[in-house]
Order: sequence, then structure tokens, then C-alpha cells
Amino acid sequence: MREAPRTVKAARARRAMLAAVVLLTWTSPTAAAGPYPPGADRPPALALPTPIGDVGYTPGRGLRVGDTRLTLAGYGAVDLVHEEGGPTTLRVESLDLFVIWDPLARVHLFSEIDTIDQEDPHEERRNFLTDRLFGDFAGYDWLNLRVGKFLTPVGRWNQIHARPLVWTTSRPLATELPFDPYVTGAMLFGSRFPRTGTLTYSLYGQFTNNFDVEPPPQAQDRAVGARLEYASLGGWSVGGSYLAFTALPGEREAPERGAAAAGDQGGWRHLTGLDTLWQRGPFELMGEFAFQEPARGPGRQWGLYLQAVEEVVRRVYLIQRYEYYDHPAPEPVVNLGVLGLAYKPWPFVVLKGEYLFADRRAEESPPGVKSSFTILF
Amino acid sequence: MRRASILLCTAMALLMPAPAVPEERALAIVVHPARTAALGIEDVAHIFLRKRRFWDDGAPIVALNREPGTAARAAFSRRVLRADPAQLEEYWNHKYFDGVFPPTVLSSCIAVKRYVATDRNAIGYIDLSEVDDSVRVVLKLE
Repeated sequence: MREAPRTVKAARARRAMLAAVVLLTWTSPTAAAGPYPPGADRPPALALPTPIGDVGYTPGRGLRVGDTRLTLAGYGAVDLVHEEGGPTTLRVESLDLFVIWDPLARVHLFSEIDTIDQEDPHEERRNFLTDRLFGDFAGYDWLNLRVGKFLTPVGRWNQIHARPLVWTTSRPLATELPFDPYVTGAMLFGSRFPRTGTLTYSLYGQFTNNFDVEPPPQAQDRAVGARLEYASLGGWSVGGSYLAFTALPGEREAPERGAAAAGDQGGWRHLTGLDTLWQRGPFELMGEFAFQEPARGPGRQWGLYLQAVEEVVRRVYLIQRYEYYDHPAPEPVVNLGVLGLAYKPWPFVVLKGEYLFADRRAEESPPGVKSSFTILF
Repeated sequence: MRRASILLCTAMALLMPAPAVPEERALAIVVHPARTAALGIEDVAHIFLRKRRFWDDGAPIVALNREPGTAARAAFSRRVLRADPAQLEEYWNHKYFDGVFPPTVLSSCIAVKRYVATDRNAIGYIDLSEVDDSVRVVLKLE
């Protein structure tokens, strides 16, 4: 009985979304304006003339399929991990494939298929999950519509979480535990340009069932959120995020997964986040803070991290990170430190090694030595 | 003996030619003559970072880059984008994760000029000495 009105609402939402896409695309000025030929910032390693145009492969920028505006790409990561007091494991952690298609100047279609999904060596391996599948419909710089499954715009790490793009093999708890990394729904987003920077907003909601759901610590059912970020051309930026969500049925009574919902009867939870990035020469400083609590009852959790990176020798980077995470009671607070090195022989390949230490063991990020080979292809 | 060495070193230092300072290229940011918009250096940076993607009249912007390793591109990146090649690689890697690619590359100033002269949505940069009536200069980097 509970599903019937939800199904009607979801159908209405889908119709409204479709109407918005058509309206935005048709009413935009010069919707069918000239081409926007995508480029590569380095020459192709392989180019083959074909009847549909040159098929060219550029490492780290994918395979361009002639003049079809289609690109096949992706990334992979192989981990060698030794947990303290545990086994040493070698495994392919991720092998994700992108299909990117820009059929019109205002339409951008993107999908990411996770061919191997196994966050933990003890978990059952799942193949060919859809991590992301969305379409972007651009009206103006200040108004775009994204429809489908996409990354939740909370903080920074979650939005660039592909292994070749982040500095460490381990992921900060504050970017993983308090919210679902994916939204299945719609998002309005856009930018304005104050003189020396970019002000970007996102307004989004999940009003349909999560697509190809994985069991993250906070699998969400319905959600609404917003993000505002200012990025200066001078190399620093600051962002703020808000997300309200209900937990997916089945996840509500799973406090051992950090669900924190015991007692909130599946009600709304609220997350507030702040993040910052500062880059100058060989230095980079990044930090995030996230605070989440149910509308009523116990289960508050919050965490933060601060990460400093310095290029110590050409293409060799030293990484230091401090993390704090306050789990929902009765789980204890955990303090973690990460000391690592990363080597980038090419811009699309990163070799990483790090030591993660903690004042107590967190199951989601156990202490030990972690290393990985990651590649964008 | 010591004083003689110091004098000799000083004389050599004075007589040696000063190290050549690489000449900074004078560049012109050019658009189609039909484009009348005024652009500042920040606007150009936003366009070439593909943050700003549409002209004021709503038409999509076609930004044209020069090949990596060319002096013109290095000068443009340093003076307009305020970033070295490694920082820009990282920026474009992040964009690539959402399926967004850098601007199209053309192989010469002549090619950029010809493209801009024929496409009213295009913007590129060429050597200032290459400018003629086929394009409109919106910004000079001298």
C-alpha cells in the first residue's frame, strides 16, 4: 500500500524531468549552434584513419571514435595491502569503463560501468555495476540540468574519488561514512563568474529508487541537497554542502554499518559539510568536515580530515593526512594518520605507497601498509 | 694571490655577457569579427578552462588551443591560466572524470586564425604579429 503513491509520484517526477529536458534544450538560444570539437591536451599515441574519421587513442584521454563524438575511456587500480595483524592481499580494486558521448553542443551523456566491485577482499565480487549514468542538458552557463545516477556533490573527495585522481589508496572516513556517494535523480547546476573566480551551485534530489544500488554505509532512499562552491583563479577554493536524506529500507536497522538510524524510524537525516583546497607551487592543502545527525533520536556522527601534499622531487609527492571520526554511539572516536608517497611517471599513471596508523582500529579503514598502481586510460 | 683571484673573478663576471632572458611572446586573443563582446583576462581563463562555455548570446564557445610544448601555449598558460603544465594536467584529469575534455588543439597560428575567421563562436590565441583584418583582437598580452 505504501508503494502505490510512491510509484505515481515517481512517474510524475519522471514526466516532469523529461519535460524540463525538452524545454531547456529547445528554449536555449541557438540550440543547434556549431560544433564543439573536443580536444586532447597531448598528442594521440595511436591514430587510425577510418571511414568515420580518425580513431585515435590518447593515454589518459581515451579512445576517440572518429567523428561520432563518442569516447571510450576509464581507469583501473591494483592494490597490494597488508593490514596490521591480518593477511597481505593483492587484488584488482577497480576497473571502470567510461562511455562519453556529446551528440550535440548542449547535450553530454556519460556512463561509468564498474566491471569489478569488491571493496573488501572478504566481500562477494559483483561485476558490471552502473556507478554513473547521466545526461547533461546545458541551457546557459548558469543553468544546466543533469538527470540520472551521478556522484553526490558533497565535499571534494567524493566528486573525484577515482583512484588515479586522489593521492592515497585509503579514503578518509568523513568522505565515505556519513552519506551515500551516489544520487539517482536530477540536479540543476551552473556557474557565475565574479571577476577572479567561479561561483558554482548545485541543487539536486533523489525522488526515484536508487539505480543499481550498492550497499554503502548510508544507502539512501530519498534525498534533497545543495552545494555552493567558490573557486579562485589564484588556486584556492571553498565549498559548503547540505544534504537531507532518508535511509533505504533494510539499511535503517544496521547501526554496525554506521547507519546511526536505530531509533529514528527511517526519518530524515541532515548532513552539513565544509571543504577547502589551496594550491600554490609544489604545495597542496585539502580538508573536509562533515556532520550528520538524524532529525530525532540518537545517532549523530561527524568527522574531518586535513591533507597536505608536497612535490619533494620532480613527480614524487609526499602526503600527510590527519583524520578524526566520531562514529555514532556506542562506537568509539577514532584518530587516524596517513604518511605516504606517490610517484607520477606520467600524468595518467600514479604509484602510491602509504602507512596508515590509528589510535584504535576502524573496520572501514584498518591500519597497515597500502600500496597501489593506478592508471587512467 | 687571494686578492688577485678575487679581482680576476670580478673582471670575468663583468666581462661575461648577461644570460639571455627568454623573450616573452606577445600574444593576441582573437575572435570572429562579428563578436563584439569585451573580454578580460579572467574571462579568457574561464573559457579555456571550460568553466565558461557559452557566449552572452547563448552560442557555445569553441576554444582553440595550441599544441603542448609550443612557446605560445606555454606563455598563454602561464599568463592567462596562471598554471604550469603539471597543474593543468591534474585539472584536466579531474574534468576527464566527468567526461569533459580540454579545448581542441590546432597546430599553428595560421590554423587558429583561419578557424576563428570562419567560425563566429571560436576564440583562440595567436602571435600578435600574425593579426590581420580577418579576426578581431579582444585582448593583447604584450
